[in-house]
Order: sequence, then C-alpha cells, then structure tokens
Amino acid sequence: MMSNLGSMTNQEASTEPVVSLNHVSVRYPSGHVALAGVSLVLQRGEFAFLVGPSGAGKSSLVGLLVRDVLPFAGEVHVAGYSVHNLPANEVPYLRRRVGVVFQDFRLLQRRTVRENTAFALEVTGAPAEEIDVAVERALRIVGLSKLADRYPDALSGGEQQRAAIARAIVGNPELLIADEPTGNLDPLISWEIMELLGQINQLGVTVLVATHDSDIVTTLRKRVLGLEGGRLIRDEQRGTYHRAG
Amino acid sequence: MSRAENSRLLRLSVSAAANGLARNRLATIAATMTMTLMLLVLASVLVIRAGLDAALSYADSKIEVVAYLKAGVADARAADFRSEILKIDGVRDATYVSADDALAAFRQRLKERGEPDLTGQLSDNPLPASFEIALSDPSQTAQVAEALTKLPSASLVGRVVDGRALAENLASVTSALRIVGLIVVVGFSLAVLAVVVNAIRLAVMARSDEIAIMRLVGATSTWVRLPFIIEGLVIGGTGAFITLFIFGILGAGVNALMLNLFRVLPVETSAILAGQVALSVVLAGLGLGALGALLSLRGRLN
Repeated sequence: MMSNLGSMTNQEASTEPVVSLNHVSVRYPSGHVALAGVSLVLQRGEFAFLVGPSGAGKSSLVGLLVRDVLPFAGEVHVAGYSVHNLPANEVPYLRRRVGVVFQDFRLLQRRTVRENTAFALEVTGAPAEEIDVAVERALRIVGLSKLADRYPDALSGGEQQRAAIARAIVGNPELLIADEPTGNLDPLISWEIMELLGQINQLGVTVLVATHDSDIVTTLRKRVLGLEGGRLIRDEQRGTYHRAG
Repeated sequence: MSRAENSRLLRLSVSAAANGLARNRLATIAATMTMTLMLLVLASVLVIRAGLDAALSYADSKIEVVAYLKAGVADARAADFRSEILKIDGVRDATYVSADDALAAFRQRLKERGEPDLTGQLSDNPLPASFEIALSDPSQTAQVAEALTKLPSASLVGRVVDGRALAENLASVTSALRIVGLIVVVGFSLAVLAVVVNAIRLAVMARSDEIAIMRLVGATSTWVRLPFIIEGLVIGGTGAFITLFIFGILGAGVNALMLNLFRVLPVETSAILAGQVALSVVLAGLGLGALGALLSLRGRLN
C-alpha cells in the first residue's frame, strides 16, 4: 500500500487530472435529469468548491465520482479509473482512492476514533502494522491523537468531523470529497474544519468541497464550480459563492 | 488476495460474525432450533428410506416362482422334474421342499409367533411338496411360470405362485414413501431457509451503518459478505452438530429399531448408513445456512 500522504512521489509523477468529466449527464429512473452535459477537470493538488442551490445536482456529482451514481451519457475519469464503464468488482478499488466525508460524520458509534479510522483499512485487507502507522499519521494530521480512544458520542461535532476526515484520508486517497462538511457545525468550528481541509490539500491531496456556506467560499477565494439545474453554469478561479455581478 | 490478506479477512470476518450472532441472540437461537428440527427430519427420512431400500432389495432378491406339486409325488420323480425345471431359460436354481420339510417349517413359524401348534391333531400332512425356483432375472417370473406348465412333467404341478406381485406391491409402497419423504424434507428446508434468512437479515440491518461505511471505503463484496455467510454456516453447523448428537444418543435405540423393523438390513450396513446420514446432515446444515445468508444479502450490497 502507498503511504505517501505528505511525500507525494507517486502522485507528483502523474500529470493526469484526478477528476475529468466529459459531457456527463445523469438521469434517474423517474426521468429526472440531475446533471446535463457537465464537463470539468480537477488537476492533481487542486482545491475547489462545488456550490449551487438544493437540487442543483451537487449530490449527483459527488455520487458520480465514487460510482454511487452511473452517468446516462458522457465519460467520468477519477484517479485513473474510467468510472462510466467500471466493472462492479473494481468499484471498491476506485473508492480506496477517494476519501469522502459527510455532514452527518457517519462514524460507527461502537468504535473508538482510532478503531473508526483503522476500520477503513482493516476492511480493505491492509496488514496490521501498516494500519497502525497510517492511523497514527491520520490522527496526527487531524489533531485527534490525544482523543483516539474516545467513542464518537464523547466528542464534539467538530471532533467527530475530524475523526471522519481521519478515516477518509487514512488510506492515502488522491481525491478527498467533503459533502457539506460544515453543515452541522458552528461557524468557528467550521473554519477549523476548512483549515484542516486546506492543510490536507497542502499535502498534495485534491480536495472538492460541496457546500452552502457562502462566507467560507467567498472568503477563501478558491476555485468555484457553480451548478444550477444540473448544468455547470460557472467555473471560476478565485471565485465567490455568489456569481460576480 | 495474498495468503496474509486471506487470513486477515477470515479473522476479522469470524470476529464480526461472532459479534453479530451474540447481538441477535434470540433470532440466532430460533434459527438454530428450526435448523436442528429440519435436520432431524432429514436424518429420519434418510434412515427410513435406507431401511425401505434394504427391504425392497431383499424382496427383489427373494423373488421366485413356487411350484406346488400334487399330493403323492415321489421324491425320485421330483428329482427328475427338478432337472426339467433347471433347463428353463432364466431359472437360476430350484430347491425341492418336501411335504415333511414344509410341515416342519410351518411348525417352526408357529412356534416363533407363539401360536399354538395344532398340526399334531392332523392324521396326514396336508401340505404339498414344492419347488422354490430362483430366477436369474426377477422380472422373468411370468415367463418361467408359463414355461412350467409346458414341461413334460407339468402334470405333477398342482399350482404355480408368481412371487412378483408381492414385490411389486412393496415397491409401490416404497416409492410412495420416498415421495412423501422428499416433500417433507423440501417443505422443512424452505421453512428453515425462511428462518435463517430472517435471522441474518436482522444481523444485516443491525450492521447497516457498518456495511455502508465498508462500501464507502472500498471493501470488496467478499469482505462485506463473509461475516454473514459465516453466521449462516455457524447456524447450520450448530444445527447439524445438535442433530448428530441427538442421533448419537439415540443411535443404539435407532439401530435396534431398524433391525427390528427391517430384519433384513445387515448390521454392517449401519456404519455406512450412519456415515452417509452424518455427511448429509452436515452438508444440508452448512448449505442451507450459507444459502440463507446469501439470500438475505441479496440487493443489500449495491
């Protein structure tokens, strides 16, 4: 297993984009078109916000990247995998290259922070000694080393989100997707989480944050991908939450 | 997967299965008890079927044509007649049972049954002498019986009894019992499957968060499924163990009962039969357990 979060030799060697969508459409069985002709590229090491009103297609786009959702048309490439025609038995290997965190943390309540983090590697068959090293590093990055033996219900919302981020990065992913990571957190904690995501990005991980938090998006002035009605209506470097002008 | 990865997979799956079984204790116990009941029925059906088969094959081997001679045929005349009988196609052997032998055998049977022997009151032996004709092919009884009436010494024969009819009756009873046994076993298997599926579905639901996370972080379907399959195997294996334990305790009694019911079953067959029953019970238990697990996981991993 690669263990190069912080020493990105493998990832630096590749110049391929981590995410590439080419005229992608998603249509649900109900007939609802969630995404229509979306094309975008995320280069290795980029940080981008995905914004848009509810129902704009953000969740469908996140689902596409981990192959929870299949495109109706177009091509999706993520971390070297052609997701649009990926055989079902290869989906787990794609997901090992993509870390995901959610608004509701999704931690296992019967496991400690350390166990929650280790779980992501245990169930992929990683050897125990590799797991120990990777877990300690991930916990150090998110600042939870001292709380590693606590159960989720003994942690604050921000700490739980940090634990979820530790689990998402412990496998050394190429892409980290955060789907409304600050939706359940107060503003101060939200900024801490954004700062953490920025640090992880500094380590070379491509980060995509789907969010409704206009303050954060507008203040940070990162790349902004704006969805509306299933269409990518803007793609701005150093963008703001609301469309300029 | 490497060997080390396989052993990690097995270790973690066994520990997850143990947790799952302990967490859903009631459903696990119910599933194991139903499984045991079904396996007991299966084992009983197998034992009874083996007995019936043995009885049937014994009856088949004993199928013969009996030619009762008229009264007063001298033994020497009968010996000539025997050589005529042996020339008939399909006849393997012909045993002469004199009138005295027949009476002695009749008396012996009465004694065995504990019935009073009143034959001493008779002035003459009323039983005829006979030839018990063994056939090389039991289906040829009608042809042999027909040929007997055309022999030069056919006039010595009073009556010919075709043993086929009796065997055919036994065969039809046996095949009816086989069908009933099959229906009972299939019916019980379906019920067991439903209970096992239910028990494991409870375990799947209890661990739905864990399954969702496993899928999210890239666990393969083998890693997701194996703990549940192990749970199914444990339920099936435990059911089989209890069944064999009960059969082991009842073993001596069952053997005696079988020997009583099917006197023809050779004792040495019992060991082979016990092995076959044990193997069938174990395979059925494990198979139903694993199948139940796979069915309960259907559509829940995508």
